[in-house]
Parts: sequence; C-alpha cells; structure tokens
Amino acid sequence: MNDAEALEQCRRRESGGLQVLFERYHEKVFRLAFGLLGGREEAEDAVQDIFIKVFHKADRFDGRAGFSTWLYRLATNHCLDVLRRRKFRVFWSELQWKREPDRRAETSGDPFLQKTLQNALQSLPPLFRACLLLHEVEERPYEEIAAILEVPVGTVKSTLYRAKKKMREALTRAESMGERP
Amino acid sequence: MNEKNMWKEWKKNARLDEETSARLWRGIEARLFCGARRNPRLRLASAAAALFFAAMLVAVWRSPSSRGGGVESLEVYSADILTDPLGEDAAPEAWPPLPFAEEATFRLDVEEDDVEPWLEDVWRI
Repeated sequence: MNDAEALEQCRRRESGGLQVLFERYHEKVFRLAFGLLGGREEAEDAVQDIFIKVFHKADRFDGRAGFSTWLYRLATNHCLDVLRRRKFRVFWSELQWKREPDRRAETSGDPFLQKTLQNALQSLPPLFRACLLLHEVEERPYEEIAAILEVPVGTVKSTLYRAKKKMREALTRAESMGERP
Repeated sequence: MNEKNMWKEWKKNARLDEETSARLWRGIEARLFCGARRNPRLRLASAAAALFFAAMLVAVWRSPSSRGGGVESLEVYSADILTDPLGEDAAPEAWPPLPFAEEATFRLDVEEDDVEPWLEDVWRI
C-alpha cells in the first residue's frame, strides 16, 4: 500500500491506512520531535498527537506536495506549538506530582556525547533547530525544507548557515567548560 | 569529530525501541477508536486547578469590597462599636458603673530627686 492509498483509508476512517503510515514514518517524526522538543517523553506524546492529526486532517491533503513534506510540516508546526505552550506547561508541571523518571535504557552510542549534542541543539532557536534537523538528520533538500517551513529557499540557506555556526559555538563552549566534544 | 559523524551519533540516541513504538500505536488506536483521552493525569490536574480558580473567583465576587461596599461596611462596623448602647441622649446617671472606684487616685511613687532634669518637662505635663 502506498502513501496515497493509506491516506485514502484514513479519509474513510479506517485504521489500517494510519497503521501503515505510522509504521513507515513514526521513527522520522520521533527524531524531528525529539530534536525540536528535547525530551523523549514529550517527543513520544508529540508522535501520537501528530498521527492523530494526520488521521483527522487527511481530507486536507491536496497532493500538491509529497505526503512526507505534508507530514513534516504537520510535525514541525505541532512541535513549534508545543514549544510556545511550554512556559505554561512548565508552570503546571511544577504544581503536579513528579513524573516517574525515564528508566529505559538509552540506545547505543556515547551517552555523554549525545547529551552534549542534544544540549547544544536545544540552545538554538526553534527555527534553527528545525532547519538543522531537516537538512542534516532527515537529509531533505532546501526546496522541501522551504515548503515544510513555509519560508523562501534563501531564508532556509541563511538560517542553516547561522544554525551551523551557532551549533559549532555551543559545542566549543561545552568543550571549553570541560565537557568532552 | 566532523559534522556527519556528529549527526550520526545524535541519531543513535533519537530512536524508538519496538516496545515503545507498539505502545505509541496502541495509544493512538485507543484515542481514535476507543475514546481514550490523552494523559488523564494532566486532565485531572487541570480540572482540579480550574475548580480551585472558580472557587477563588466566587470568593472574591462574594466579598464586600468587590461589590464596592468595603468602606460602607467598615463604617457600619465602626458605628456598631462606637454607638452608646443606651442611646446618644442618655443621661449620665443611666450610664453603667465604671469598673473602678471614682475616688481612686493614681500616684506615682517617685521622689522629686529621682526625676532626671530632662524628665521634668514630661513630669509637669
């Protein structure tokens, strides 16, 4: 079943189509959400919310761009909304009981380096983060990133340049503060 | 470390295991087809907070000052204290007895020599 057929099933309110799309794209959506939001739990919540939006908004997909572009746009907009609401949520989370810490084992790799990278990424403004993740991690071309973020291609290129520069500065700062690069 | 390797390293951490993926899908199914709600604990906390704020609003609305009656009610309260219970025109004979003898005098056991010069003025007053 291709993306268009799966989406057609979503329009008919059948779960099979959504399951196909979930299996195919949930890792990519999670990566983007994890990079933009910074936490696993928040990113997992975002993945669920985004696929539920896909199901409800399947009618709005007009096919002008590819499905993955539409999905990335939905995911990016959702995460940016979450970031906007975060101040309020941080206030509430302090009033709520503390959540259980995430004890799941981290995946393979150097945890220290991954933490440093994640901290450096989180120090960037959200739009910079989105550009970097879509270009460096998801390897999307400039034109598609422009379509996802609804900005001109020139803006994508300049934002990417500045984002990479800021990321390097953040990593250098982390190194000078005694953290491993 | 070059940038390509850096992002490869980052990607290793940004993965979901099979168990988590399955749980996420079950959550989506439950929310879409079984009417489950997202994060029920958060909703419970929000409902409790909304109730608390509603109670606060009602309490503020019911308080006299919020109805512009603050000064008025204070005046009534003061008047209650200051008004002679027998009435303003009651004769002194009708007043209740004082709690001490009228002839009682108060004397300070202080010899004149003990008074400091700078206290004299106060003493005279």
